[in-house]
Amino acid sequence: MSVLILGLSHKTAPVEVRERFALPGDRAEALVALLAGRPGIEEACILSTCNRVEFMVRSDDAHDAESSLLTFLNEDHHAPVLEATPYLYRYADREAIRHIFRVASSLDSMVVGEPQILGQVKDAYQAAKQAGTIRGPLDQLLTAAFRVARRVRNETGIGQMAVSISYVAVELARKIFGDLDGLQVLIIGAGKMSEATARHLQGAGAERLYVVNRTFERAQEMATLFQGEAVSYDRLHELLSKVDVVISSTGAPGYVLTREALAPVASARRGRPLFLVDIAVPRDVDPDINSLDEMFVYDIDDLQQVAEANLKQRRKEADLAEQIVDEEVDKVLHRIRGYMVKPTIVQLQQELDALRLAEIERFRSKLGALSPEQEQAIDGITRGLVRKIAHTPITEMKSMAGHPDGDRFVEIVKRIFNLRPR
Amino acid sequence: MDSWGVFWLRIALALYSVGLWHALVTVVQQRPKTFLAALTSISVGLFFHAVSIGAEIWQTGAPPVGSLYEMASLTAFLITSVFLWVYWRFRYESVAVFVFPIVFLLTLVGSLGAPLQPWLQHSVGSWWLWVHVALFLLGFAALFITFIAGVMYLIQERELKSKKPRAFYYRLPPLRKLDQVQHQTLAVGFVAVTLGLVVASVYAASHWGRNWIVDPTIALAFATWAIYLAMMFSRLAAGWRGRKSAYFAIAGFCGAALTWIVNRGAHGFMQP
Repeated sequence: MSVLILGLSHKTAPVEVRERFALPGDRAEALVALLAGRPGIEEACILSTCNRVEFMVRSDDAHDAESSLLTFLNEDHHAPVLEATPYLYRYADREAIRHIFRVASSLDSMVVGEPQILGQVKDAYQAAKQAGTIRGPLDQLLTAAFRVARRVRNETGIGQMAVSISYVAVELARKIFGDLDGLQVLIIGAGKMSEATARHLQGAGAERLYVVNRTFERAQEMATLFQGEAVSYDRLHELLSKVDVVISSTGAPGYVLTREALAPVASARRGRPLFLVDIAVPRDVDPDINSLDEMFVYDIDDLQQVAEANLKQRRKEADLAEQIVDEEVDKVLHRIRGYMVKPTIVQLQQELDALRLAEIERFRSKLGALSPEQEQAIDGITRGLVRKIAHTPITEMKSMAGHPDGDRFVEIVKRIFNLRPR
Repeated sequence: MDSWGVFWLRIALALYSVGLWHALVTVVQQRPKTFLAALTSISVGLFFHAVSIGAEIWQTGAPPVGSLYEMASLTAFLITSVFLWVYWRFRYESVAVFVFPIVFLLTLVGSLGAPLQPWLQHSVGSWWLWVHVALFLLGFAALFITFIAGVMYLIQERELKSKKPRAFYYRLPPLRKLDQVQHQTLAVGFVAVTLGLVVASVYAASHWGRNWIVDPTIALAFATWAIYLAMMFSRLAAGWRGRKSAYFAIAGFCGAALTWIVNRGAHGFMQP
């Protein structure tokens, strides 16, 4: 058995190449069925996202599978294989399994640890399942990949730190307030960016939203969107001593919130933290406010800085994830190879037993009448002999199961014992 | 074996060190799963610690506050208990990393001691005194956690102000939660210490008249209590939170630690 992957990703190919390999959503099942129908290919699955396209096949002969796969790409998929050769990567067997696991665990993603990829792999699996193109070891492999991805997510912090700016704001709010339930949020300037951040905060449990905007109508529009409250500009300071988070993104040329204005607010708040997110350029919030007690001002660059630090943390966690992947590759290889040698083992045992019974029958006439004890003894002797003969090939096949030469060894055993495919 | 109390205490000590090690791994390497091992050894350690204190009481027939060693052991026991309570309520592993070095040290001190001659004469060793000492030590243990949470608050606050996430940012609890830990442990600590003061004052007044009030160690105890009183007021009445409150917690604990050190044995005025 061998597993082969041909693919291209954001790491190897620019988007104009990737898009020509991507599967059109409505033809995904048809195409994977065509691929699986090519000679030499036993099972197939195709993963196609905006960052990568992967063609995974299982075959009993590696070379045959690769040419079949290429023919498929040329003739069925009409992908420009020849032009794309420098962008394509090819993984076989152990490396292929490792690749599937790494992709599903989001270790090969553009943003390491992003969670969407697992869902996309699951979709590809479902499509192939629907098309009936996975039913054996490849099925086992992909289900194992889901398990590995779960393990990586649970045992490492790879997906824990926010890496996009609006999520970083939510994460910082968590670092300040713990849970966000019941938090009150004030939005100054109803732009697109503040909308995204507010949406994340509300998703995380923030309760009350106030919107202040230069044009009151726009404030009302956004307030209805979040079931919040549009407030007029003159109530701004009253709100500042009440809310927990401020998101500011006005188009104002100068500071909307100055240190002079916020100093009395700081003492009125009596040490309750206020988190000010300034996503406006030019900035809305005087950075000096950060030096006031329990006031935390983050502008767009600060958020970016946190995002980068988080990404660095994620990469550290990725090292641990790679170890988990390697461990799981060994496990699954062993299991799949074991699964593959099992029919041969059973066949070997049956053939030898048939031989044994035939030989006993052949000599029965020469032995004459036998007492039950003698019958038993002959049975025991021949059984023991057969078992001893079969012992070494069976244990060797099992232990060679994870080995690259495992398949060849199985072939040799088959030849020696004259086991024909049934 | 000099004493069963010390024997069980050494077992508790070993378990605490295992717990401390796992807590360190949990927090430094950010492996939350490891904390279960830490929690288990700490809890089992606490059980043997209780056995140790029980054995000590049974052997000496006196409250386990008769020597520096016993006091250290009882303090460690109470700190661990308060820690488990706080963990049960808030689930922040990083607190353990700050708390357990001290618990380990106090237990180590406690386990060094074969019972020496006790400080208290039996005539003085009334159960009222034991209640007074136990309340103080419970208060001390709770206020120790307040102090730790205050220190953690200040560190995390600096991390957030600096805007450059470093090791602490990822490992310490959120600010508001640290504030709540301070709030709750302060409440427990303050009530215990106040009750301890009341019991002690009533008992002292009935035995030694009024001379004890001018004793400097007693004055220190009252001064410390005043700091905590101020902290309680600023929190409850004025609603102050945050950095100022954390500074209070640290100042108060410095006073409390000093009081603990100078009041290890019998007070001066108690000498016949």
